[in-house]
Amino acid sequence: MNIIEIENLNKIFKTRQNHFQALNDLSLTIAKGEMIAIMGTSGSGKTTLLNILGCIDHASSGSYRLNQKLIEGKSLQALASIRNRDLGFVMQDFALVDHYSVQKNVLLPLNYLKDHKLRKERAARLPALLEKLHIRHKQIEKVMNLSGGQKQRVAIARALINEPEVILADEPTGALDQKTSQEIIQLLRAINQEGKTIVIVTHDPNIAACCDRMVRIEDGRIIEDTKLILSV
Amino acid sequence: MMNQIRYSLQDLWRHRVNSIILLLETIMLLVIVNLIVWSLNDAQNMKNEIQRLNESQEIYGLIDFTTRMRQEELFQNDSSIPRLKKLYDLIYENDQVKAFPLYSSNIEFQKSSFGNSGFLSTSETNVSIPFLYANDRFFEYFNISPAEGKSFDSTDYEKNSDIVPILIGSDLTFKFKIGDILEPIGGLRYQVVGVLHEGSSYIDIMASRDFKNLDKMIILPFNKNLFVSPIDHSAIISRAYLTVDDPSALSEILQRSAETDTLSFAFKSMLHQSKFVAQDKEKMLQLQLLLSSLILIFTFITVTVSYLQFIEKHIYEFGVHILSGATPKDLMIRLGGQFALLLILSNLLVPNLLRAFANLSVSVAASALLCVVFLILPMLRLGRMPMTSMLKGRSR
Repeated sequence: MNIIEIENLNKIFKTRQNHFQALNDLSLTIAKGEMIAIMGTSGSGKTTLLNILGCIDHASSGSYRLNQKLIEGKSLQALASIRNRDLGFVMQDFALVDHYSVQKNVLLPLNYLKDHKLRKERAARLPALLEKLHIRHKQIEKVMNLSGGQKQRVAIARALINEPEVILADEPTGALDQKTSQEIIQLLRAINQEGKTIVIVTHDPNIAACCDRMVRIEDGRIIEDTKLILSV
Repeated sequence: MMNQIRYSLQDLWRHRVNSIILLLETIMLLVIVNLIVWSLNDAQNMKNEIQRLNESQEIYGLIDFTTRMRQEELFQNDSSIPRLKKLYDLIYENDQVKAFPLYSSNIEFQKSSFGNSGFLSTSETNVSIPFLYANDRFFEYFNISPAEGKSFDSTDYEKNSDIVPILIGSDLTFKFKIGDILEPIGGLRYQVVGVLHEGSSYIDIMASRDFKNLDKMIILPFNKNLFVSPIDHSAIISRAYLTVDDPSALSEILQRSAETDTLSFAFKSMLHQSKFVAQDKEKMLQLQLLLSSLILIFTFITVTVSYLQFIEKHIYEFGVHILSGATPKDLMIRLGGQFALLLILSNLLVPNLLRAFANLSVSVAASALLCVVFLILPMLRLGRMPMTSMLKGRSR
């Protein structure tokens, strides 16, 4: 079953002088539980694609279905709810608020969850989640005092707290050393094996090698879509 | 909603120095708006009052030209009293004119026996309450009457009693009530017979050229038995206002006053004087408005810049919240909430700062307008910014 279906997606950035087509008639489907790497050179359109998948940007034309639901035409409120409940984000610069504690950062998505009962239930799982990511001892520490690897674990914990089906990762190891990068990618793999769909944007072939599938983009088009046999 | 208000409070606390500055600026903004409205109202009230007074009979004020040396001669010698009394009678006991004085001074009370005197003028040991002598013409001319109790009757202006009846301003009811006997320093005793309406005032066009509020004042009957010294007589004569059916009566007073060999003075028409007062007041008001408007604009710009700086500083954090499921509306509540909290606090503080000058409806209206502006500002700033830019705009 496909969890993500995009069809003939175009994204044009307009400035006063010129137009830039970041995505060009791009179509892609991602199956539930898949771990997919989207590769490409800088400016190829991979981050633009991830932003559209994450409902933080919109396509100029084409259709995007997440979990069979059409995303185009949804209100800002509805898109915010999708980002909150159906998607988790892991970014290269961690996208954490430095002056918040680990706990406050991880629980942030729960503040925007409308269901109070669910909010309580999920918040109760915080210690176990932090334990699983080996950052339980940092629970009340301010994020600014953590190492890069610890920060990325906090970001992963935040991405998981609301139990979304899809995790979107934009260069998740871009700011980390090789050893920490390996740990993070193993962590993402383990999360994928629990059934989460993971989309990773990267230009690192070693990371792509750990995924089930690799899609290469150039000039906003898919030029390669390969199923990978080897994984970590 | 509650989460966003919580974030607003946390933001205010985290940037407490900036918050205090923003609060002070907001208070200043409301103070200026209140003062502008007060000045406009005051000018309009004065214009109306001058118009009303000029519609009645023309009134003349006395301008005293007596030299200091001459005054000292009169004051140091009790033999001047009969001559001053003669002059007094020429003005106040003359059937051809109707006169009233606008002489005021202070009655002193022991501070230790007074209790709460915060809003009155006090020295280390004394509490001073200003008083004014008044007769029926004064009450009639300035439309003043008691709200409770009674006004003075004709015997109050004549009898020589140990206890002088008085009327008190409404603010003094915190301490005195009708029937109370006041024993200030000096021996004379006073009994409260009435309380004036709140906001009662008179206008002293020749002297201060402003409204004098009677709320914190005492009114004494204009009784010549209360004047014993040359200074008393001189003071009460030089603060005289007169109305006449025939202006030749004024010339007669001037001629006959020369015979007393006491004070040198002239009469000036209040109608004539009021035109200059109105002009002066208008010029003053224009200047006040210009300065206030400049300060108002400057303060508004500073508040807006502080607010926009706060938004810029937190763009990345807002981006993280958007990523976690916040909507621009949530962020607006958080930002507007901060300002609303500061405005609520300002509205609580401004009446205490301005007291009588404060106007709650003006403060609330100005606050509502500011709230709308400061909800629109983040809406414009954040609404035009793509979420992707917010996440790039880190400046922590």
